[in-house]
Amino acid sequence: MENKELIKKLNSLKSITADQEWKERNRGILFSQISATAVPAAEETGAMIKIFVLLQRLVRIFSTPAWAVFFVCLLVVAGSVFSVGAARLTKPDSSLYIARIISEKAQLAVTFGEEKKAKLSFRFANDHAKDITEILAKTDPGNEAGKSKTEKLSENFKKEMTVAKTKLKEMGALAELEEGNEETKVFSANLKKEERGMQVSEPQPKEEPAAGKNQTDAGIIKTEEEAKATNTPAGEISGHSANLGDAYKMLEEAEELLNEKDHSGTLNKLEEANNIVKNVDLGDKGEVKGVSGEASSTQETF
Amino acid sequence: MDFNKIQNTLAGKRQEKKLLSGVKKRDRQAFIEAYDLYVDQIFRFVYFKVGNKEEADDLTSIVFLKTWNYVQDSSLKDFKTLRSLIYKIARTSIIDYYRKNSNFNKVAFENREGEPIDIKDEKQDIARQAEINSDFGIIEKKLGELKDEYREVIILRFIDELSIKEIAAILDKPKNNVRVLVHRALKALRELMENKDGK
Repeated sequence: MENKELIKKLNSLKSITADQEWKERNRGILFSQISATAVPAAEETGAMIKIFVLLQRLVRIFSTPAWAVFFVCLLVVAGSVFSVGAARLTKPDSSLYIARIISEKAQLAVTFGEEKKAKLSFRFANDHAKDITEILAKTDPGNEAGKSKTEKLSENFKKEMTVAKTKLKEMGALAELEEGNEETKVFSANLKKEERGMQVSEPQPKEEPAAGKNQTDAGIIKTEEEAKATNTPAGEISGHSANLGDAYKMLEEAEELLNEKDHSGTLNKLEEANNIVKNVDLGDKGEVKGVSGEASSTQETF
Repeated sequence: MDFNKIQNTLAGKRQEKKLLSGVKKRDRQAFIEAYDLYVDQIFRFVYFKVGNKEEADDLTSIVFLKTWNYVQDSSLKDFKTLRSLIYKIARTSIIDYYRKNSNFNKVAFENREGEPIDIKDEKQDIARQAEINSDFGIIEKKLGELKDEYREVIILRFIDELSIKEIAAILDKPKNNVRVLVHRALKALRELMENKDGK
């Protein structure tokens, strides 16, 4: 017997069905039974089904290549931001310190404007110096390892101080340049007022800072005489320089305090220097925003 | 497969999908429609398993009620078709029925002395004999002689025309195993039929 024939015979068994009468009777019974047991759950589950359908649609949408690429990019960016944030918390004795240095360099690379760059470099150097001081405070120079570590850190501290001072000098030079430009503008305006048709475009030659108590570094601190020589009010001319000079002094004091092993004092001085520089606005006509008490008193002496 | 058959299959699938969706929402009307659609198939499946029309009637109504109760408590996530769910419930219901009535084949009336009485309805007996002597009756009889496992797949595949995928879902077996089982079952039935022809 062929399979085909057999299947045909099997198909004929389809004619076996339940009685029509029984089916209808059972249908009625079944309907009454399910009506009695039924809980109209359609409404209950309606919200859940909607949420499920919505989730399914979202998954379908976000699984498209464009969204996948977007998520990967987002992950990379978020990861980078997180890494930079984590790197900022590292200390000089950490293996991840190099990541911090790289992130700082990257930050400097994307900073525009000489003043801003100098300010940022100063801040980084100051922060490094603070971190080094903190580690030095915790290091015991009694043993051999501690001693060599202390030496190395002290050396690094000096390097950072040198960088910070250099940046202060740069800021001082920029401040002077800025002030010089302001003077030119004032002269031009006065001359125009007198309608002489003449313009003085050259700034007043700057005199070398006088040697004395206030001269901690060239171009940073101006004496009262210097201020007078520029024919402008003293407070206006040397606002930046005076403050930057204070910051410079703070750094020197910090170095001295570190040599005396006064770590907390060093930290305070560094913090003060940072605050002073933070509040100096080089692009704002020599005004000092929210300057500290010391900065104000320095200004008044001119 | 001709065009009409394909069209019917597609229409059936659409209807099945609609019913499943309705039943998932516990729609009574949809369930009654499903009853109308599958009652004959389920009855047939049960009938070939128990070999008795009355018991098949009872079990069929139990199967549909159990299906409704199952729908109330389950999300039907594991079932892609309603038909496979009903068949699976039918299968387990039959197993339960066998367990509860392990001697149901020996059910018989007894006289006062405890001896069995053989009750015969002559009219019914003649009709049945004629049925058995026909081709239809022979294959039904031979089907009963098959192993339960073989009989089950023969009914599902060649009488109720379920797909291999559906049968696999009902029997909880991989599709390849079902294919092999169907092949062996058909071979066994053919051999039985040939023996009859030989006789």
